[in-house]
Amino acid sequence: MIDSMVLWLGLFTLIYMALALFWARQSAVANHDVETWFSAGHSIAPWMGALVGAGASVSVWFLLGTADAVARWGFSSVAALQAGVLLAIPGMLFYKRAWFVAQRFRVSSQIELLRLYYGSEFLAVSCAVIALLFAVAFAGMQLRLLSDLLSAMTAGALSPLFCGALLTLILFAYVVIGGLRAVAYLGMLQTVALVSATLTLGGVILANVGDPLLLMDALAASAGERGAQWFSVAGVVQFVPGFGRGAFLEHPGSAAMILSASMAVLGVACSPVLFKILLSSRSATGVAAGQTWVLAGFFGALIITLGGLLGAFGLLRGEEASATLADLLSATSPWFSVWIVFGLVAGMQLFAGLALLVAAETVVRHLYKPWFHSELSRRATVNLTRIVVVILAVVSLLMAFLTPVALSALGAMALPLSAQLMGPLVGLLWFRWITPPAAVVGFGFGIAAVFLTDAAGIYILSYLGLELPWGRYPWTIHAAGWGLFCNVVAIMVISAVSRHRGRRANAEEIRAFIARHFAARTPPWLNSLAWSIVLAWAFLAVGPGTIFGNVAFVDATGAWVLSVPSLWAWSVLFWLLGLVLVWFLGYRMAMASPEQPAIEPRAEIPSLRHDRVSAEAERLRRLIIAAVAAIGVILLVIWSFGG
Amino acid sequence: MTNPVIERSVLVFSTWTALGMLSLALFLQGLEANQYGTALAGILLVIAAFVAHMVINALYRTGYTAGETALGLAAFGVVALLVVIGFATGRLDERDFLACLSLVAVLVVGFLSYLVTRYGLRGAYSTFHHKPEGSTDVDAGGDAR
Repeated sequence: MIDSMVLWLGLFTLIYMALALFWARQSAVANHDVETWFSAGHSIAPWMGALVGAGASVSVWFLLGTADAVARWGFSSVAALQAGVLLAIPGMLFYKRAWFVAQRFRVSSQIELLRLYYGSEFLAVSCAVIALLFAVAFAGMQLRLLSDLLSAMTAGALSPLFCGALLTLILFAYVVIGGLRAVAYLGMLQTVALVSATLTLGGVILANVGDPLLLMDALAASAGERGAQWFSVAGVVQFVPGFGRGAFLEHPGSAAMILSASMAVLGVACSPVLFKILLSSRSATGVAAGQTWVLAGFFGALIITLGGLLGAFGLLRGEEASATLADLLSATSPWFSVWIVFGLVAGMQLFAGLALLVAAETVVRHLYKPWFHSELSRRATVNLTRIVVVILAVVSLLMAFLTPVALSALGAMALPLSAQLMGPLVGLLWFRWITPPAAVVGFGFGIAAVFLTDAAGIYILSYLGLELPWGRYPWTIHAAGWGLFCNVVAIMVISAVSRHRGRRANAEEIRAFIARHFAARTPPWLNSLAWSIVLAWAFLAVGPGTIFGNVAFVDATGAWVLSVPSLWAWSVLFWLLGLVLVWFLGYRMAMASPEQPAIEPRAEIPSLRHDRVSAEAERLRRLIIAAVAAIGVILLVIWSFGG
Repeated sequence: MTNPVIERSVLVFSTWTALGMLSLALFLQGLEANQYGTALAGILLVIAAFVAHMVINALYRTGYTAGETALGLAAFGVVALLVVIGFATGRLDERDFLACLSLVAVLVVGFLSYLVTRYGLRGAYSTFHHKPEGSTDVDAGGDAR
């Protein structure tokens, strides 16, 4: 059986490598050498952008991650179950507007948009850090998970490190050769492979479980005293110090945890990674369909049904979803097992490839080049970015196998940090009253709050000798919730005191452009109704109202009315309502409706070019001195207080 | 800057990746477990992939490329060869043979229906029938008129 598995694995690996290299070559030819390596000349078809964007949003994380959350915490993992709708909401709010502004101002990444409007280098560096966390840590976590799975399928004949190295080699090969075009073209194949393999996995689960209702009966029978943990939300909020600093009441899955964890999920859609594929599309006409039907609809259905089912299976067996999955695959025919694993690998590489490209581009094109080497040619910029892609991929691989705990802590922090970008994005694309200083300072407060309440930040501070009195997620509020709370408070206060300050010329021009293209076309009562519906949905689907889900579908005897846990049925109901909500926002409120107005790119304003070589050399010298001093101070602090 | 040829290729590859791989897995499962229904499900997916391919061709107003035709014929040849070898060596029982026969039949019917829908009855015949030297255009078939 194992020999047969290795044979099929080898065959599929060869096919996958051939496909990856074929599309990398096709892309390199279409790129005309290096001219359109970064953004494919903004020529990605809108339907392709929509599908690849949806696939990358979900990647493998929200399918296996949801199953793992349910297997670990029970059905109070509502934020993960609602991921389809949650991932689509920021897309509805931001993507169409962002694409229009980017088209007008000839920019191709989120960091350029934010820099254009806010003129803040702090924001630019923070975006780069977030992109790096996604590329190295978030993608690295998925790489490790799948490497372990591949190794387990061969009963250890192939080591996890070998599998991880092979996957990394394929990954950076096609990214380096074909750039964003290869990521998009191959991403399309990877998306459909992910979908096909996930549906196959559903079939395998059903074949193993038999009647899903019997699984639910077994779940109900074996729950016993753990029923409260498995099937209910544990109150609205718990005023406890957090993970690692004391016990929770029943379990940590309070309504506050669900709401704040939902904010972390929003972070994926706000990340520089997802914006890249959007801004490389030739029009924004695919946004509504991609976010509504593909992401919230199709992927949402997969997440809430298959994720829930696989999680329930793991819950019953008392093991993590990945272990359950490995067992299921080992009991299945090799061609099915290998196809499922390669679908998951494709999902992982879809996100990882995009994240690597965005992180490397951010570091080289948006930080290194403007600060230290403005004379860098196009070819040299692309080649340097290629080198950074390889370095980041190797770092991710090494961290996945040498420091997996640190990697998962950093990966977990990527989501809440990225969620803090909502403040600057809302300020840029929606509300004029949010002043640039308020958005930037609010973002700073947000990331500071995330750092102080998430595992990675707490660990780093502890290593420096500062023991915080709280643990991870104090008061059962996820770091994303703490960050956004501080972010919003700071934005409101600073906007109030800085509302009379003038704005940069670019910011005024963007505001005028948005006002011209997105003037309200719906009556005021409909706007009020829309936002009321959004709030009502958030309250009941992922907010304090989830408490009602504990008993909504339970009869007087305590039995499940719909034969499945009440909270799961509640989640499915609100996923369906969430789908309607996303459609309503996208199409009826025209937030993402397909339109193709003629947007004239702004003409370049000619300006004199100064010789910046000496200034850049001086800046580099100062950076090196500052870095050396900072490292010295950190080492001194560790030597004195921590370690 | 749009490139419809590449976009069509991406769609074709995606279709065959999603449906083709699944159909292969189902067909093999059908043979392995002696379940004609499972093998038939795999065959139906091959038909679905063909139909999707033709829809894509219609959307982009084109036919199969030379590479696709060559790959399709080669795959057909390999399948047919494997069936013959399997049957000759006695590794296929009656139910397996039925499944393989169904697959080959579907491939043949699919190929012929493609030719007929693409070129018309007489045109399809003319695709293979080479007119002798010195014959008139009328002999060449419907397309020439």
